[in-house]
Amino acid sequence: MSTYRYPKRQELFRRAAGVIPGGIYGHFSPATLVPPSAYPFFTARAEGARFWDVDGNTFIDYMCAYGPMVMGYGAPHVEEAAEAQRRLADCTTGAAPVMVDLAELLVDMMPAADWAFFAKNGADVVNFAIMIARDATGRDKIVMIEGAYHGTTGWMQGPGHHGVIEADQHQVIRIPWNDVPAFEAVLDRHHGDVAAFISTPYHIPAFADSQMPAEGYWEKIQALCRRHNVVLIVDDIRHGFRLDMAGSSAYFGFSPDLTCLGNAMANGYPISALVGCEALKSTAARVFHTGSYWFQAVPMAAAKANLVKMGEINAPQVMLTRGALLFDAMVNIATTYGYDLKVSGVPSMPYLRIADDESLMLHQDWCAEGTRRGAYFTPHHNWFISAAHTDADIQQTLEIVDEAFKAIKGKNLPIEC
Amino acid sequence: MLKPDCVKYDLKVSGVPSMPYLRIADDESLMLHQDWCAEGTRRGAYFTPHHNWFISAAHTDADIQQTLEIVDEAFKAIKGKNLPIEC
Repeated sequence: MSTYRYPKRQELFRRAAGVIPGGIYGHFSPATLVPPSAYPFFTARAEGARFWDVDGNTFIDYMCAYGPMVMGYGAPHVEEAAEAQRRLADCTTGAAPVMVDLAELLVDMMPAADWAFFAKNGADVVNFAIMIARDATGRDKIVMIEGAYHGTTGWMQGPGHHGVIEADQHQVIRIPWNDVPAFEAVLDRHHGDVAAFISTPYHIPAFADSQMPAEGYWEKIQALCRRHNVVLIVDDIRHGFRLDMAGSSAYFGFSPDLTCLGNAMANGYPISALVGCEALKSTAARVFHTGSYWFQAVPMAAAKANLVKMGEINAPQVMLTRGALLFDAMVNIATTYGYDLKVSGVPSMPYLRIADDESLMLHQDWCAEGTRRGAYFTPHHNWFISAAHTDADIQQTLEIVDEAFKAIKGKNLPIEC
Repeated sequence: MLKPDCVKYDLKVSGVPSMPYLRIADDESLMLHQDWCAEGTRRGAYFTPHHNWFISAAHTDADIQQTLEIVDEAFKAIKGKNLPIEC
């Protein structure tokens, strides 16, 4: 099996570095793609579960645009709906009728949704949720989970991050995941001051295993929120529609007041949503929050078509089932080479690492060897699969996985045996 | 009591003409200006009362001609209804 080289990428990145801060910034930055020499950086074309880089190499995509791609790049049901709307109107004066259709669809699909509000990115609706919670409660403080990612606004990023000032953190209290007594202690210490508890449905720290909710965790958090009139916000942007079409809170059996959605909603078209309970609808109506492109009709039409189709095939179940087969097989291959591959989270968006690899270099090397053979693996972020990953894609991936383990076995021996 | 024929509207246009802010002067309650925008909108020229407007490079001479006819009609309509301005 030959391995990829990236001469054109190198030239393009050199140009990028001349005119773009960091060359490529944010979650696409090469900074966490270690070693960067193994990664393509740029995507020239994409179709189904695959993308092609500027050097003509092709990859089976296990990042799915870091979440938005869920039904395959260029999925016809989405593109046809988007094209039909594009012929009519997109970014115009006035809201598009499809906005009402999409809101009704979400309200029908999700028990936690009595209304829906649309924006572009996850942070847009997380910030809106916080504003609603503060206006509804008349309180300032936000409780969140240590190591949780909710976007890049000052308060969301932890202290010490560049551009984040101490005042950004004044109203934010961080507690460990799965720690109900810590939440009780905060409610006691800041009695009457906590506006909201915000968390992802299960914990997805970077550089660490995903952590599922402990038995009874959400039930207890919900009960505490209700007792203390704290608004319960679920950031379902990354998990949403990869666990359950009714929302990840339905998957785990609890009822948030506000749910932030995005990513997989429109198979890559730019749209996010906040959905919420009836009791907060009038507050949501009076908190002013908007953006130049938030009423774009094409992403709304794409989201509507995508969610309908995902519901028809129960796409989350397809991904969970197919992912379980794939990752169980990967673990078995790892075992044959003497490696302990840890898979955490759910199989539609798992976090993988090779165990007993404190420096992380063995795992990085394995991901790099997979990527250079055509299965796009990143070392420190959870992966994603889509409903468009075919059996053939999975078969080819497993062959690559075997080759990648063989390659690292030949180079490194950091694990005792 | 003022007479209709002594009413003069002073339409103030500020900012640059590609994104101007319009208001009818001497209209403290803003209701006259709102009414004029509404009469224009209901005749097919989309005017909003409290935000700057925008034009595009696609607004043709024909669009502008039609707009001016609507503007004339809209002023005529409010003239017939309101007399809040001293003269």
